[in-house]
Amino acid sequence: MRLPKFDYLAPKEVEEAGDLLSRFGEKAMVVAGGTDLIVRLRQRVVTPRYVVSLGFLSNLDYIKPSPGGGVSIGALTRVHSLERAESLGSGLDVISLAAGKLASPQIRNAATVGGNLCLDTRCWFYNKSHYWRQSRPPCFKAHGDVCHVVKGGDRCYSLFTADLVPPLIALDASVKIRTPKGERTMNLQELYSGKGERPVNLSPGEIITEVDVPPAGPGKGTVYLKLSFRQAVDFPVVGVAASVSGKAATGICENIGIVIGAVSSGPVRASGAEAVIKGKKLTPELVEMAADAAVKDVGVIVPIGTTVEYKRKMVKYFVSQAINEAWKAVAVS
Amino acid sequence: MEDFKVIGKSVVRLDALEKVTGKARYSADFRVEGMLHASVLRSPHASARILGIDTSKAERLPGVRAVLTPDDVPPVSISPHLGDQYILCLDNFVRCVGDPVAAVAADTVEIAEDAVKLIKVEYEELPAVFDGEEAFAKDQPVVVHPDLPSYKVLTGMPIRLDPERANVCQTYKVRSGDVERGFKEADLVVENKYTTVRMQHCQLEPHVVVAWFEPDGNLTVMSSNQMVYDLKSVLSKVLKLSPSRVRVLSSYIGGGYGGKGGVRAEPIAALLARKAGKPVSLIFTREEMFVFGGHRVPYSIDIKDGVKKDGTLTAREMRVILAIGLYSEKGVLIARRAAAGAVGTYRVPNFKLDSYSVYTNLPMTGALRGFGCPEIQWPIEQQMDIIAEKLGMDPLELRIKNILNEGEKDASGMVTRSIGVRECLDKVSSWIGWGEKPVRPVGPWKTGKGIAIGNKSVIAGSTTVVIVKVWPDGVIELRYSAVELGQGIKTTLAQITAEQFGIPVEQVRMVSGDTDICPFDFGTVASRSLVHYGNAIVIACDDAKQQLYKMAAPKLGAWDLDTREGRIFVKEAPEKSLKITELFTPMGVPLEGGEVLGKGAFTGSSAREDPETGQSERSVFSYSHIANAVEVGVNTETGEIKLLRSGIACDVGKAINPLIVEGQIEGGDSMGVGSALYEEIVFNSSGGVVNSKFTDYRIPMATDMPLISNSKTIIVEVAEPEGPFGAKGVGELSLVSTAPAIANAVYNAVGIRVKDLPITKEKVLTAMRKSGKV
Repeated sequence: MRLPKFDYLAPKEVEEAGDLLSRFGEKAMVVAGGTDLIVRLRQRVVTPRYVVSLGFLSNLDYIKPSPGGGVSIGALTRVHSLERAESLGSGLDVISLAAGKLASPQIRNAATVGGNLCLDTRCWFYNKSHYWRQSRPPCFKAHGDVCHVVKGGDRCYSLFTADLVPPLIALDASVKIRTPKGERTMNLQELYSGKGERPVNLSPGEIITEVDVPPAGPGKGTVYLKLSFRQAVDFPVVGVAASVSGKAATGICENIGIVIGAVSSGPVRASGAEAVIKGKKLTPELVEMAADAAVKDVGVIVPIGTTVEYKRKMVKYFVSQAINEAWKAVAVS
Repeated sequence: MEDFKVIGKSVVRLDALEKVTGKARYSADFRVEGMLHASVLRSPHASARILGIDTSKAERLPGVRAVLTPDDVPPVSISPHLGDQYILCLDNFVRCVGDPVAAVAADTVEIAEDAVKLIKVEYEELPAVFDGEEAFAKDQPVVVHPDLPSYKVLTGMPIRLDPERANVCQTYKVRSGDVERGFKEADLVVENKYTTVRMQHCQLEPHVVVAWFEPDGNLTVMSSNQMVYDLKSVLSKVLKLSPSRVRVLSSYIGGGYGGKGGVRAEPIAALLARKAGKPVSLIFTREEMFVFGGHRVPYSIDIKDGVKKDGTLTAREMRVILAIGLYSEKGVLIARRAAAGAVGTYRVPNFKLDSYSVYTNLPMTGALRGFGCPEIQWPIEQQMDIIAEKLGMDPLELRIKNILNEGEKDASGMVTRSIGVRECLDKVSSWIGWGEKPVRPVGPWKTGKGIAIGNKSVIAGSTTVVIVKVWPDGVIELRYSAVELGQGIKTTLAQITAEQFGIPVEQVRMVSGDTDICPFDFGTVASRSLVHYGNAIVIACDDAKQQLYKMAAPKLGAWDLDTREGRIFVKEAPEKSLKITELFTPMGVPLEGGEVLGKGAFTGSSAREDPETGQSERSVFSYSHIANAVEVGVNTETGEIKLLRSGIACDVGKAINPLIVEGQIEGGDSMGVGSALYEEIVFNSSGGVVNSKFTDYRIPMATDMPLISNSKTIIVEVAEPEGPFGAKGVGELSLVSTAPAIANAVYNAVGIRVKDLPITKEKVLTAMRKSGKV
């Protein structure tokens, strides 16, 4: 399958890119590394009139330490650079480890951090060729009114699978966005609508320029655990990030962030699970309770690739594993 | 042991340099002046009657040169055995999602694809049947081919329908001894059901064809087909052209695995070329490959084994249902070939097998590396472990006890010979440390070991012909029709040719890929190329040598001659010699006969088969044997399986080029791992392939295989008396027993048995939870 016809635009500056995107609105799409968009173009999943490349924008490929031990990452930084970064700051190495779990070395060489943050949700009924899709009525994501994944579903149940997002949210990262009016900053978690039809809260003309990760601070451990069908070049079946801070001496967990990917149409913050643990002494029973709470936090699970039952078991298992492993990191810090 | 000059040596592949430098040419690199591009319209329904096709909009699209509909298609079957398949859907009915309905040739692929979308087809949807067992039932809900009893049989192979089962298009029986008596004699009877699933070949190169008519009306086709002469014959039949007027060209092929052994794209391109009056190229998309590039036949196997307390097998009864999809193609042949896999390893005094090929409203199945044999070892090799456990025996010991001996008749009546499976088993089990504890489990991981054995045969009674030409400078040219699909046949055959003349491989010129100049061959399938070509080459070289000797004898004053390194010499007095060049005039013409051309034809032995019992003195040409030993880790919390160590030993008779053989074994093994753990074509409720791309259809990556330091490839050489230099086939052998070895290791680790392929994490976890063992 070949690419459909489109006009390719390659602005040199963010402002110019933003102007083009504002002007063309829904008719334009953005390409950076191209690892996701090109496939969708070839399958005619999307057929934009214009493709605006961000690949030529200057000064958005960087990893800079920020005051206090945090890190700022340019949106056009390659995932591979993130994976290979010497040190992102104390307690932030989980970002490199998560980057290393994404797809394959070849894809990581091309894929960008901003691209992974904006990764569209997917579904094995939607991400299909024109021929395949025409045999069924259009689904919600294709502006229709059915869902082929969840029979009788009243919305789109496509799956959010970006590997970098759960650990970054768990680390309270924020994103800088260039808007037609200037610049705004948004908590990364707020970037996601949780809606399969339109998973990323960006308006036409808005471009993510930077991810800022605050200092982890002492006594904080963060992990990202990923289960996939095979051991490389695969999206997660479940991806769980946990960030735990506390004091090894007291055994009390002072703060915790748990974020789950690949179960829903957006990253799921397991607030119920967090509440079970926060401020308490970590015990195996408590971790088990938190894992059960996480399953409730997730709610409806999208049955793509595995049954709902299996994913639910995996959520429970990986949440407890993530909490335990993150706490181990606290204990040695 | 004979002292060989090039045979048995890992000479560098002749295609290595051009392939690693990207210069090798594949069919899709081929361009013809004025070439159009085609795209195929496929059915969106699993079963429907076509009420009308309106192509007017498509025809009006600028750049469209020809539109093909079922009305343009001759009523001649392109299927090899049964008259059930036309170039486009049969008799205005579509029988699966993906059945070809129409095709367009246009100036560009983009225009052709757009035009296909403009063709309006009116369908009347009909009920469909997807499940093999449902279709097999006497009260089947849907009859896929109501006219089946009147279809023409196109082959010498007997086609036997089942009068009570309307979807059965082939039945096959093997009877040996008396199974009822065998079960009575048994101390233990073990009965189970196993299933396998559809896989896709996932060749890097899809099906590719360029077809054009020459000014004199002859047809030329450039194709990525594995069976060039079969293709030539089908095209000549459907286009009503003398075979002398159809020329098939081929180039390097980017992987075949049996999937390119049928006729898929070529007749569509040829008909479009005729209609448009221009060359037409048709390249399947990846999605088309997943939908209509052919699948491995899914099996459902009921197996019942009887065994004595001491482990002696007394009886085995198998009923095998092959859900072959909408067309018979190779599915009717696989029903027979699967039986060879079932009888080729163990001594079973009382044996009964019934296999059935059953139509369903799903896409075509066919050959996929192993031709039914991996599917048949999946149940057998798990049964052996189940029996061993019930008897309190070591599974290794149980296998050794029941392996056929040299000279014994197997259950199909053929005398066993060249059976190296014991040696394979000994070598891998010793490498894996059978009987010793597996690596220490860590955390939620449990570890276990498993073994499995199996066989793959080479088809009996097929023919290969080669021509050898001697050039004035002593270069030997081999004209042959095998296709190089990565398996290394070009290099291997060059080695055999070089050996005959005692020259280095560089002195051999390989000419192939053109049926106008290269002689007949059955096809590059069935692991048959090496044994058939090897024998034919020896015959052809002898023929050419005799022609040379006839010219040299008067000059040397002796008749007992030999040749080496471009010289002909007297055997008794090697110092008496002359250069081959001296037998040619300065113009390059030999002193006698005009050209030195040797011809060699080889047909593998075969024998009549009794249709009621499947008994035959020569049911296959030869058997190759394999043993796998693996060690796995199983995660008791997630069901994940990690292959920790893997040993594989293959009895290949003689490794002509050991490095190429190792490549075949290791490549096949990774395909076996895919079949064991990941690969399955998934359909939605209306019969459409859901995972028709590599993101969703997972094949194993390097990371899914054990580290090289934890893998072992062992070549065992038990010579086949009729094979060239003792060689047997290896291409398909290498994945025959991977899946059951892994299944047995999983059982050893966590005590659960998955009988339905593939062994997914979810199945493992569910079974563990159910068993309560972990």
